Amino acid sequence: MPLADSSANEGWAPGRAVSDAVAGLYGASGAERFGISRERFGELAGEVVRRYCAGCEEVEQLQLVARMHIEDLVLARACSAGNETAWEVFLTRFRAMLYEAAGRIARDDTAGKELADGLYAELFGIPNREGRRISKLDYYMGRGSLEGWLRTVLAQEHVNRIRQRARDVSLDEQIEAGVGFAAAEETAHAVDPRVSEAVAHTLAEVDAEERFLLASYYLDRRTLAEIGRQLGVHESTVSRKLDKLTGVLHKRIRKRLEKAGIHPRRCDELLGEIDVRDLSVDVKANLRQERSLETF
Amino acid sequence: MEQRSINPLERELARSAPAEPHPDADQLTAFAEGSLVAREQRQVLGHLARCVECREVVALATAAMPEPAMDRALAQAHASRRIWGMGFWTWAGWTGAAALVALTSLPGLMHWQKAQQGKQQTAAVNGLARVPATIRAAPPAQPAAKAEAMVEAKTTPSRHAEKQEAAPPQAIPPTTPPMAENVPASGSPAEAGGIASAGAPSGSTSFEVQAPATSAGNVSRGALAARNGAIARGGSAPRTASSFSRMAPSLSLSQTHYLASVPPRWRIDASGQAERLLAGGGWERVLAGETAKMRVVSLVGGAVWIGGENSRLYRSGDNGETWTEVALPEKNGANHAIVHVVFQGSEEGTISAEDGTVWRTEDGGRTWE
Repeated sequence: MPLADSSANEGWAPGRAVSDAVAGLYGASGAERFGISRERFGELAGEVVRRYCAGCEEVEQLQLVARMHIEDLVLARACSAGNETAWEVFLTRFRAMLYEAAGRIARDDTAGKELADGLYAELFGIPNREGRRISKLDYYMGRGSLEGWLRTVLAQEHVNRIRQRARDVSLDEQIEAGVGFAAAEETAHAVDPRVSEAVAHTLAEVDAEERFLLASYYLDRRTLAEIGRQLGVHESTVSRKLDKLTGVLHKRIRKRLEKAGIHPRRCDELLGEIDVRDLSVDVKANLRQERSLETF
Repeated sequence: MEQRSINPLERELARSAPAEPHPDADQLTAFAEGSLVAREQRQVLGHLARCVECREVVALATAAMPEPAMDRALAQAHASRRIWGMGFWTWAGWTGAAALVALTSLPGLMHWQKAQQGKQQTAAVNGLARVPATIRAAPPAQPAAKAEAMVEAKTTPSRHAEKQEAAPPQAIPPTTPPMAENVPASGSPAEAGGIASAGAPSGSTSFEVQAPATSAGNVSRGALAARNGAIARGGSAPRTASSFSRMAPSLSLSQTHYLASVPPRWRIDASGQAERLLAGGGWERVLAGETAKMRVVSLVGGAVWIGGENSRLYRSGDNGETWTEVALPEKNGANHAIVHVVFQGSEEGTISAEDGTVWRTEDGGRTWE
């Protein structure tokens, strides 16, 4: 099932239980204050369920409805519709937070201000050809908090800018240095294909969370605390899991190498070369992807 | 030309999944906040395990998250894991110790309870619930023709920053989100009278309440406050019992001690007046001579900070008995509306204005830049 698919679920309508659950949220949502009727409110919430969970069991749809940040969703839609009261609330709650978060993400006051100014303008909306204001808040679906969504959008924009800047800078530097665009040099030391195969098979067996841990820690160089925050666990839990995981990986890779007929002493040498605790290469150069984020 | 990595483990970890759509910002946010349904959680985690861009976004967004919300969640998760992870003998030991403490303290407990019942009866007779007007330190607040509104309280935590890897972070005890007062579940704006209240802060945690933008339609904010928490009950330096007894000599010593021990509450009403509520009294305005509209009240340890328009900033270390005006250095012009006062620790703090101007301190607010 795709992560989110609005176009394929046109014509879907929520079941009775989901409709009742949504209707029960109207009072506490603050929708009435912003002039959003019950019918329109039902459409807004129904759109979220349709986008993310149209083909799911009703139980899952009800879970989704229960976890929606419905007040934030109502506020966002009211803002994108141009409701003045909604904008006053939005500015009071989020304007300062936006600039603070942008400063933290960009790690620089000036860059952060620029980042926040840019997003703020998009949130406020740009008129299209018909004169209707298109706001980025139209894309907010209430799955997470509005505050968290704003941080995520800022982070996405920041990552896009860095990647764009990196491509531009590297190109300019290359031309200035008179460097041609030659193919990458072959390295002198070739990896035993049995090692590559053992590693590939072993990593294929780890689950998504384990792979996420390995990639975050060894490739992205995240701290234990940072990884813990993302997964909602304490950093000591992350540390324990990583220690256990690397031990298991070593054992499995070694077992595969021995099965492939490699002498145990040679296995030790090869494992030393691919020690997960000793990744010291320039990771970013190898992980640069061509496609920028296109989620909007 | 950079040499390509030959480490097979790294190469395998860096291998991207076949082209698939990225989770949208909503899903990434919900993932970071733990509010995805189980199926989506697995899907998003599976994508993140192979997509460096999305991992970067989640990491940046999470790092920019205010820490107390995350620290509370981590502390709660940690506490629950600690309980469930205890071995049998540990349980037996704790259970035995608890039983021993209960047995030895039971007679004392019963005696204390009887004494408390006696005190309560005395207090009821003396009318503790109806404190005379002389207890108030300032003229009472104007009648509620202005709708009292409360936006929401945000907590800003102490920041552990880079020290977290060197030493385990201090777990902030989970606080029960308190209910906002006088907030109907749904109702007309005229009924709205939400008051910002937050649990007593400790150490370097600050609690903040912001003024409402308008006086109308505060039901939603009240509901938000009820859901999200925050009662600004401020200060760690309560009034002395003697000051109460001077004001109201008819109160018994136990009553004055009781009143002195209850920290005041704070709010900013719709017209921008900062007010406090002392135990047993009514809402009273503070900063009587100030005409600029106040926009934020923030409780930081034992201090109360109030900020507002025209770059006004005040600090009190005695629950609002006396105030010191704090002059901020001029930045981006002279007139700012201060809307945030946040301390990341006992010494490091940030003040933000509505236009994004920021001041920082590293000495507990003595100097700002």
